[in-house]
Amino acid sequence: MRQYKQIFEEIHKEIRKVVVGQDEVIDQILIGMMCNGNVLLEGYPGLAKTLAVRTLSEIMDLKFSRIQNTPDLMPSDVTGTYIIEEVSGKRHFKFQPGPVFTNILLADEINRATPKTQSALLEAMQERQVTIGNETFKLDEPFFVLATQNPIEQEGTYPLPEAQTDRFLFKIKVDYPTEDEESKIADIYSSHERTPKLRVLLNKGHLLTMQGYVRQVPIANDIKKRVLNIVRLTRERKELIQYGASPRASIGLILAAKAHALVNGRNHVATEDVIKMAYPVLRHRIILNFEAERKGLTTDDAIKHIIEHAR
Amino acid sequence: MDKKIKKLNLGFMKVEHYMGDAKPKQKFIEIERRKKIEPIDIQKELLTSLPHLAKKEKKSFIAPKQKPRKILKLMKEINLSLYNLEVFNALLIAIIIFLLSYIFLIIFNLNRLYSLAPPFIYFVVLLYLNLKENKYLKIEKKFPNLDEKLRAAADNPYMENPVVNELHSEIFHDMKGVDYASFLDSRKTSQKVLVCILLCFAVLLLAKYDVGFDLDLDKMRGFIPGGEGNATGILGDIISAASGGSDEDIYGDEYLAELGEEEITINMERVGYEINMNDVKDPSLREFEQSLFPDDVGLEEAEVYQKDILKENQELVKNYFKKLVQG
Repeated sequence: MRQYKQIFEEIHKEIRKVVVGQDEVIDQILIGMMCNGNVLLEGYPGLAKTLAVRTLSEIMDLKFSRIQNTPDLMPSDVTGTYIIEEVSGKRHFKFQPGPVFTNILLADEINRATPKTQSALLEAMQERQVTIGNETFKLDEPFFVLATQNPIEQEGTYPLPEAQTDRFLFKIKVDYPTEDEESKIADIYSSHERTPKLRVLLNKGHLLTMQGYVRQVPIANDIKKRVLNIVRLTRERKELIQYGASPRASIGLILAAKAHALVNGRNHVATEDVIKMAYPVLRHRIILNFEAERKGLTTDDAIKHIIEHAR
Repeated sequence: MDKKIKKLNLGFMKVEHYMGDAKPKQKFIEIERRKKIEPIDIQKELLTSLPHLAKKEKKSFIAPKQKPRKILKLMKEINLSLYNLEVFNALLIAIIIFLLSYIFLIIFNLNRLYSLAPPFIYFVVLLYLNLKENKYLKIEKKFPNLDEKLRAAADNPYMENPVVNELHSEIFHDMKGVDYASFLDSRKTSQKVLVCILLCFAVLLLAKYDVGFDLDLDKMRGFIPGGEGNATGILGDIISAASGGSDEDIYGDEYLAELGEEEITINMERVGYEINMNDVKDPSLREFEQSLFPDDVGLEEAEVYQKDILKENQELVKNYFKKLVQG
């Protein structure tokens, strides 16, 4: 499985032509794709979230769509709708597919869309299908929703309901670049217009095969037990957490750990994989209680505490 | 011509569309249906998309050769080998314990058979603990290149897929570097063997020169609180009075407490058996008060009952004693 590590190193190399830094974010997006999961990116504006996702889709030779979510965005704008078409004097309904019919769907600022529009994405994210009227349309495979949200400017936003956040495999925090990285970004993008040529490294077939391999990675029983203990503790540590993670989190964490192992060229899951993946998998699935918030703890602090106590 | 009605519910409006049978069913929706993508051989594909990587990979990739069932055999072998080593170690320590307890029993002239108990208990407990121990974890600690690989393979022995097969091949490859002797600390083992030999000599010497103390356990028990021996003296009395047994045993049988025809009640207080010599003082003089004695206590003339004995007989006895004095 060492070849996978090399493939991902090559992907990183290509992405670095466009995106400076954010290696961990890109790693986690790739792992999310390997798990066939949806990813929620949270970060301030201007941190290359959209650029990273678009670049990934180009490298992987996948169809890419983008939805800029606004409060007046309708569900039909996402899923598509029937339009009346006139052919040789006869009118008939024709389905006009929406941006959801793609491989990578970037839902920018998802928390700005109304709950009705947000829930239109639910079926697509979970079932990989869209139902319009009486008809159900299967989405193309692979299909990922990469949504972004802004932690500031909460006015006029509709926070994602718990049911919808649970459908995201990861919540990735996009941080500001380091001083060196920022200087490099400024140098590159202020000097000349950049349109670097990107190599296509993977296609749909590769990605689907890799997704198949992820599920085949073996995991030792004691590591599996530790994963379950971590998730269970999120429900039991009432002194920190008000609502814990669901069993979907256990599945997600095991799958993510398997993908992380494969990305790192290992053919078995290690404890290190579980610890690394616990943060993006659990971050959006736990709600801290008042006491923890009063102490100024974050969800990452709570996850760290749980990992330390899970045996 | 029959016409079929196709109903569409769009949420905001309902549409009824009439379609004829004669014509082929018209498809209004032209969406690229999902095509089933066949899984591909990623190594072959790499040759086209990333040829330089594929070349490198060919060199470093360890091709799976072993059958998946072989891993079960390997795991069994690992378990057995480590178990044997543990048993050997436990046996050495058990022998040392046996010899030590044997020497102790020789010195104090006690039953030698007792020396079998401590090593036996130690051996059984150790075997039980060893059976519970994860052997793979032990190997992984010693050989970090096998870290978590062995456990993953041992927990999924019946899985068969390219990833697991590769893991098995890697384990077979890495296990070649595992030396079982590394689990046996040669220095400690030789020390244990040496101790065994020395203790054997000690046993032989003790047996030859008959070294030993006659240890009277019964006597010993007499001075041990709670012992059941025949303790003598004050200490023994105190111990027996203070220690176990029912009240009946302490007070004795009821008939001993009978005086004449009247039964009396005697209350005995338990005493502590600890004697503080500092508390021993000279006896204090005490004058009895008059009131202590009852008024009716006084001296009275004794009464002698005389029997009617013949004067002749009295004289005879008198003379007998006189002659006896003179003679």
